[in-house]
Amino acid sequence: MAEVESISHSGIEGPDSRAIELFYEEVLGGARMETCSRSYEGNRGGDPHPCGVIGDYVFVIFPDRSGKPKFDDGRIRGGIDGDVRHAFSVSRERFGEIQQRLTERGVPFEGPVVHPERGPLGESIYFRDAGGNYFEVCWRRDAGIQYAPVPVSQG
Amino acid sequence: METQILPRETDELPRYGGHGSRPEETGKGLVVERFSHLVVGVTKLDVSEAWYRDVVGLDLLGRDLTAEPNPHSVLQTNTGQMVILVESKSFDRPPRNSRHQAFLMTPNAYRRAYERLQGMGMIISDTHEGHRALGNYSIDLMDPDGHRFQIQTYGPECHEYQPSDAGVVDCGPAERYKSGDVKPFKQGNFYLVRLREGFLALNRWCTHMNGIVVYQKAHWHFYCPYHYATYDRRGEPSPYPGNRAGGPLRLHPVTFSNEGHVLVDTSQVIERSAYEPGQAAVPPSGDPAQAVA
Repeated sequence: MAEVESISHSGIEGPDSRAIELFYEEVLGGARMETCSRSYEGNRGGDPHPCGVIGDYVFVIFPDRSGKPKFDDGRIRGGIDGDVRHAFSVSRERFGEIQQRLTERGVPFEGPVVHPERGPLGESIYFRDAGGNYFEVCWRRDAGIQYAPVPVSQG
Repeated sequence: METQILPRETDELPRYGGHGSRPEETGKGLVVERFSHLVVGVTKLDVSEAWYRDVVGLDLLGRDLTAEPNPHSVLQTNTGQMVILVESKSFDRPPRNSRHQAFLMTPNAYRRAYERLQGMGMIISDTHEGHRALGNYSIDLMDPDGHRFQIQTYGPECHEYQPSDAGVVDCGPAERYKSGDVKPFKQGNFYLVRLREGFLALNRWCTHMNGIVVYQKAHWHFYCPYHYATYDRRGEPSPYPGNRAGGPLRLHPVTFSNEGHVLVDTSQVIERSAYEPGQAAVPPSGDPAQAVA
């Protein structure tokens, strides 16, 4: 048994946090969390950061102040060169639906890539969000295993 | 308020707040279903694998189990979420910015992590120290390649009422308060609110997760800066979607002295499910105030 229950949230960045929020809502079906930090930071300090919820996961979206363009390398599958990649799962039956949705919305993606049968993943597709952050959607071969429930807010 | 370093011992995670999915509030269907894994680039797979397994406490599933083209290691949490470490020859150390990920642990696992990190000689710190609700705990971490992480937990104390030792607080003559007045009392940790129908003493612990609410006069509401809950002047959660407020703010009994002073007994607390006019204490003069509450 692991000492960690779950990965609960990520802080990510992008030049236009509103565009990232909209991407999560329109493309991935996420929800926006109403927080005071959209326009100011209450007592927590730092930059304004809207929050978006995708399924059981929270993204806190910060402004990217590096000024570095993120799409100019033309890469779609990445996240290992100093960045990270976030992956979400769907059922195997709905995997094609995700690809169709990305196609309809003009989001370029790579894949599907088939994973080795000895591992927990089935197939994956790869794309980038409106801020250039790397994403993956997969179906999992271990979908039938009963893991501990992800502790999300009831409040 | 004194900051506690460690949560009380338990293997149970309480209902925790600030995060969560409420697609029913948006009316939009969720497209993806759940978080699956995080892919993290590393320079030395052996070193990083040992760090995520032994320092963070993830279960190691094995090597090269996915279609990642580079050598990689797969580790897992108890909920089946995974971290996939991928060795990269073109790795650039991440700049210091706001990017980070958070691992959620039970209070006991968090206590073990705290001891483990301390035993390794690490300086344990939290960038938001002093700005978290009571019962929320967090440690900042850097992995061997400079990826920022947090280890977090929520102790049982985050949902427990925290009593004050102030006893009975004399709030002065009732006649000094006009309808609509809201006055904070640090001693006893409550707000005295004068409604048209009488007085309420509202405890300041947020019923969501034990932040301390503040009165925002411009908005006529109480506001918790930790998870952004708001309550009206009767202590009821403001009725807007996404408000993280729990039940109404708790009450303390209000009585009046022979001299007409308002007395608040902070040694007693009244839990309630909703506001009712009978909860407001009417001063002996019985004078309903003139302004609208």
